[in-house]
Amino acid sequence: MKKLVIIFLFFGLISCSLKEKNVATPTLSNTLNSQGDIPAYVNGCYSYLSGFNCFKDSWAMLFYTADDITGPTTNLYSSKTYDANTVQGSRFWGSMYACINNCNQLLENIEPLAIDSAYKSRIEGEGYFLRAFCYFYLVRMWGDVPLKIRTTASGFDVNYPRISADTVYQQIFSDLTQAKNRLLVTLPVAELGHATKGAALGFLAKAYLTYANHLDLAGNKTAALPYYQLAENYADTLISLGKYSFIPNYADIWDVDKKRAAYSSEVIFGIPFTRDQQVSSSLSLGSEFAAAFMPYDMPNVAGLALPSSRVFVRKGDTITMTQTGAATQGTVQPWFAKTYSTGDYAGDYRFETSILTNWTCLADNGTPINTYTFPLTRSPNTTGLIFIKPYPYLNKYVDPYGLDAADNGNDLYIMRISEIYLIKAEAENEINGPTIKAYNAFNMLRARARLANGTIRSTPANLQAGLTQDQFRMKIVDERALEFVGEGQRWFDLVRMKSPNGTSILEYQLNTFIPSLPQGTPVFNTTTRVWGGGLTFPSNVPPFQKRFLLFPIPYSELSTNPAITYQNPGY
Amino acid sequence: MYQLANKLDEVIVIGYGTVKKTDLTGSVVKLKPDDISNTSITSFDQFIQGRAAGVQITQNTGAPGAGMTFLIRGASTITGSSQPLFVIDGYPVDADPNSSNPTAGGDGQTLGATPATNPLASINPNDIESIEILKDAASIAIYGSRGANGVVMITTKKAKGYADKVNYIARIDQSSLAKKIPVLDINDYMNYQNEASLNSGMDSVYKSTSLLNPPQNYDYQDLIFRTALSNEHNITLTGGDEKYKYLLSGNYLNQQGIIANSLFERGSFRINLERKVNDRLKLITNAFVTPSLTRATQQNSTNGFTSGSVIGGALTFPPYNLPFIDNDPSQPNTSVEGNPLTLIHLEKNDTRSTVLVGNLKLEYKIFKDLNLLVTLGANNTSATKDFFLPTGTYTGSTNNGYAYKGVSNNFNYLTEYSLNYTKSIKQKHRINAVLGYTWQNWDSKTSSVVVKDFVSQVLNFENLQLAQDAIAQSYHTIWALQSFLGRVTYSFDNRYIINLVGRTDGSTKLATGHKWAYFPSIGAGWNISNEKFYKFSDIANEVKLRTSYGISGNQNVAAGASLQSLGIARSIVNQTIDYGFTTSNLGNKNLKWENTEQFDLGLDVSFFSGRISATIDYYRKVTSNLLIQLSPPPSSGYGSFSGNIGKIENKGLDLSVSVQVLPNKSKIRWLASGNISFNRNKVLDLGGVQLFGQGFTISTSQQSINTALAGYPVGAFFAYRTNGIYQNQKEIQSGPYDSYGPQPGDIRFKDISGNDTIDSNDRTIIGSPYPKYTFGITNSFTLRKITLSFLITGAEGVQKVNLNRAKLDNLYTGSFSNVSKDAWDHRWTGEGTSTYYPAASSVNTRNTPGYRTGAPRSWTNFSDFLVEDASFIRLKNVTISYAVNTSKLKWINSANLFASATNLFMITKYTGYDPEVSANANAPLSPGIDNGTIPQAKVFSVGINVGF
Repeated sequence: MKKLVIIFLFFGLISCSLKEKNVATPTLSNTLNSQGDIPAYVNGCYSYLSGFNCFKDSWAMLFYTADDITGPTTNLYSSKTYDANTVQGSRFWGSMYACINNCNQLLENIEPLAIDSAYKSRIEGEGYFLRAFCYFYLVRMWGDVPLKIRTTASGFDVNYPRISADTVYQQIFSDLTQAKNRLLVTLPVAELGHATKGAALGFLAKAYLTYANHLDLAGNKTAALPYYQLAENYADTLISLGKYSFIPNYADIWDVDKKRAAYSSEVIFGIPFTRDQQVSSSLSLGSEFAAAFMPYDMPNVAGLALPSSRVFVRKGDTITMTQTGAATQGTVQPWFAKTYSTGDYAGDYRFETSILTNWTCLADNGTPINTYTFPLTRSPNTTGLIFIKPYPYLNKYVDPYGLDAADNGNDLYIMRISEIYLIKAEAENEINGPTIKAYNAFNMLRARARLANGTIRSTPANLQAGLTQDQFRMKIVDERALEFVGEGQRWFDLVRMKSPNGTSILEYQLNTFIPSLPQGTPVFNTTTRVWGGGLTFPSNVPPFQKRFLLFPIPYSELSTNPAITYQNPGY
Repeated sequence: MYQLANKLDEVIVIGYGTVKKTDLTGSVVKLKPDDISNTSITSFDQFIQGRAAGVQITQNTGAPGAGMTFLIRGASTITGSSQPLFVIDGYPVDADPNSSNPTAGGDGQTLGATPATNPLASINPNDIESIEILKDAASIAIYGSRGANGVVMITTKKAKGYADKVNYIARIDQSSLAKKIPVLDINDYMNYQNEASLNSGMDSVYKSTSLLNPPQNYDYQDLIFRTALSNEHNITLTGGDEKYKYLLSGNYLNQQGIIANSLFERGSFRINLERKVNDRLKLITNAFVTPSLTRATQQNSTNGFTSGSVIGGALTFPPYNLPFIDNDPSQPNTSVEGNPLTLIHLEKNDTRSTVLVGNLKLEYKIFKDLNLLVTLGANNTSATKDFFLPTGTYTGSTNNGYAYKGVSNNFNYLTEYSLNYTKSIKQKHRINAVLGYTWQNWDSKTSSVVVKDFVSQVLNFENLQLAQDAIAQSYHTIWALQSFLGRVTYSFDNRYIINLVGRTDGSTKLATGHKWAYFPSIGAGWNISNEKFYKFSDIANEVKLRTSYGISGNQNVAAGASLQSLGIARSIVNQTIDYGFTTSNLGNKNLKWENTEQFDLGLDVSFFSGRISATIDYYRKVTSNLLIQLSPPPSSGYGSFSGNIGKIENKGLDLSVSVQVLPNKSKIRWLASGNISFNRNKVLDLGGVQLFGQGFTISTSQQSINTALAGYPVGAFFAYRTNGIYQNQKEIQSGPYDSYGPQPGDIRFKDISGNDTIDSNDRTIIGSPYPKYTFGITNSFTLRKITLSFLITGAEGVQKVNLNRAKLDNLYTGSFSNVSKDAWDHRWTGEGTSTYYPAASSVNTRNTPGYRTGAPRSWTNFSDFLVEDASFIRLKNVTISYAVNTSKLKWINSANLFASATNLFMITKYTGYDPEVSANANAPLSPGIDNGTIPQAKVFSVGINVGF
């Protein structure tokens, strides 16, 4: 028995170390050791952009706050009544900073690794690019923002103050320059969608241009000029890379099955989405645009089931339909449809591709019914039931094979080669007034538009010389409005560019242009079959307020960061 | 019957030893669960309910085998578990409900919303000899970092005497629903839909032709509830001689739930052996294995869809919807989403678990007063969960069938050495000293697979090959605890006692440099009745004053918390999905345990030679260094990090009395006892932050209704205040601005912040989920061979949020759901007709001025409209037993027939099914919510207890 006692005592005294055994939790020390480990970290940085909190669901902040696309009347961004508590603002802000933190982590931890120096350099380029990309959005949308260029350490240095926008811009320029010097012109196929040298050059051009606008609007044209010049220089460098070219048929850019071809010629940088089979709905990596912008009663255009209960009211031979349970939808302002289908833009192929004005919808019992929207009128010899709507739809995002309302395959293109030409034209105009160089760059877009679907058209005609600097700038505003409708550019253009009376274009639109139009929504006269009434959805275009030029710092940041002491004006 | 300890030489089991009651300085409740199987009980914690002061046990749900909340002297943590430590025959077992409920990797909203099986149900209640509940610092400090919530010591039965005995118990139960909640039938429903539409300036929904010829009415509550029959069998064999003692027991329980297709089935087998090898050495082994199967029903889901809750669905599913196809009960109608019968008949949720606990002890007498005890033990819990959501539920329909299979295994082993020294000097001095060392190591693994998109759903989770998209996950954590402990108790002349305890724990979970923590305590006692100057022995023969103060801890830190861990994200590259690492939780290298300081002052008195005995304790516990998830600003790039900040205080009074009402010589034996516990829980400090509990879906968003805020109890309710109904347009115009655009008949919200607008600053503390006091009263009467006993339990001053009423009482037709009859009968129909229930209303889509164009605010925001008084008094159980005369039968020693009723009768103002239920009981920050929770059943039982 004594032996038994000794045996018991012996067994017990083994395993006395208190060192923590980590077998299943990934940490920096066990996952970042060699070159093969790095793509996972790069993927982690990019993952935020396609996430629900970022471009996937917070796009309303950029689309509805402008003046061309309106959301439902209850949407705070559409009615411009958003405030610091509006949740998309907080989510977008948070996802930008999460991406920045991951870029900082990548840059800090890849530095000491002993790997191939060329590879290390270009991965660092990705980190710099993404960081600059995020700060570019932050500074344009919020102005002075906290500037973090190293990872947060252990719980204590978490409170950063707001840094002036000028300093943030300088950091953006420095990061993009680093990126430009390190990134490849063409990526291996396995990395399609990540940053390239072209993307860095493009964003340098755009960032310099935006900063120049920022100085210019503040009244400091002289300080702005060197930046305009830099913008034009980088636009030229990118064009001369020779890698990017116009896709002849504008509609092909938006074809969800031709995304790969788009990235290899026209698209310089985009936010990727894909039909996610493994995860559905809000957690998926698909996009919401198709379901948000295509009519809910048009079959096979988005991952949407037909809504459950619809009520039809018939008046004469036209029918209106209301329903409960529809997805909330964005629609195009009637004034936009009128402006960009007439005058210079009459017969413009881009309008026909981008804006949906006529389709066949399915009634409850499966009967197809022809639907028209403003500005179309019903053809005199047609008879039978039709639906009439006072607002057209955005047609750029269609996915017949979408899996559900938040799981479609359309990407969001951030920068295309056509924008580079317009940046060049705009910069040249600001420095020297509209020169031949400016007109030629501008007209590249018109030329592609005339190529249409293969059958060449005569409109839109090239812009003719003879405009003043202000007039040329307004032409650029118009061209950007149509070329980039529904791509999340409009709000940025409205707040950065200058109108003929010296204010921002946003102020000009809301206080001068919109009030000059007939007020109220369009009304279709079923007897005369003519559109009357106004040209606007008024809740989306209220009178200008200075606070519209910046978004409010989210409440989630103000309530947890004592180092932030002031909010943007008007909130 | 059972008795509270009232004899001073009764032996009380405390940690690492035993002590005579006269020498006890701590606050301990001792219970002897005799005849525990006379009522329908699955686990011993149900038995403790209402019988111990300072212990609040609440049955969270009536689902079979489901867990209970076990609070000793109040909740003292925010993020961790408030469960006490359970020690069985000296072995601290794993009682974490998550160990037998693998859900990692699955859809949290549906999987996380089915009640987890009670891990204590793996312990056969019939095997228990006594239960000691250690409440104060002096008693629990010896368990150091694990004892802050109290310790429950369970001692299992041993053979008594030398004869071989067999005991057999069999019992049958009949369970049924205690009361229904009245909802509208088809006629009232159609009138309600019409009135709501008209009240919002729209046209009637149902035309007169439909009203005259209504479709068939279905009462969904009748369809989901049933009367269930359950049974239990238990057999125990004991025996021995001077050298051997054995106990073998087997138990089978089949408990069927009152909702069809729900059950808890358990088998348990135990072996207890003792062998006296020689005068010095004794070997003891205790081992049991319990396999069990739980078939659960989805009682609530945080995504708020009616298709995720059987009760929610049954109450709100429109009464005209056809329940079955062709009247075949096995084919629920899945064409409309939300049919609760889909969840009962087509959803599958089976969890099988096997718990194995075994220990081997060696008691060696080194010399006369010094004993060495060596313990080796192991505890293995393995569980498998099979879960399937069919088309007809929200998740099942969007994914064309969703199946989850999770497998987990939790293994821990213990080695423990303790030296125990007892010395009595001249009957005046008694010393007891304990010195010990323990090492316990845990290894926890879970793996899971989720599949979707089934080609055919007929074989559900039995054939996962029929599905397409599989996602697999695995988790594995290992941690260990090393401790040194010691205790000295010195008692002088049976009058003065002093007790010193110290323990130090080292944990692998804490960061380097902070791994060790210290837990000391001191207790003192004074037997006043043994003093020479004490003259009142005739009246009060025993009077003892005792006090204690000490520090214990709460092992809340998750394994890996001090590491800077990475998260995994999906990302798109080359137009396909790939994975990446992202920053996750910000690690905290200074993370440490919560610790609780407790002070206790108690008085034990016994009157009239023990016929009346009473105990009263005052205590105050302060838990500091609370582990809370702090939110750094979003600009930091991190979502959260854990820090030790904050303090919670629990103070209160425990009082218990037991009386032998009639003297020993009377024919009827009448024993009565009662206990009452007062506890005030308050968050003293939280570093200036306000924490919110779990979000529940209301309308289309998730909002939290519980909060932790300095100055209020943990989990207090935080939402808007309401103030009656808007009677007319003038009241709306003179009231504060409300962006919801209320119309007359809507519930009026209060502007608390004073800015004349209803916004999120108007939320305030609107109620508390903790009672002002809880009590229990037991009475037993014995007359010759018949014994009658009953137990009454109750709680007063407690409130509950009845989330079911968000859909039932708002009378808003926004989602075509049924509403409560009480709300419909007392609704607002014009000025002055109601100040509580609102008007039936819908949405005006024609932009007619004066009508609300969206849902009312009470539909989309939590408010005190949903808070109810949940105080109750309940006749918890009544038992009659009759001892059959077996003198004529040689082979039967004793036989008892018994009949009992559980939850027979209740007095409460609560309008839901059951005022005790709690939807999210595992999280101390989200108590007191009734969200489609299954109520406790009314049970009638009969059985027989035979000894051979």
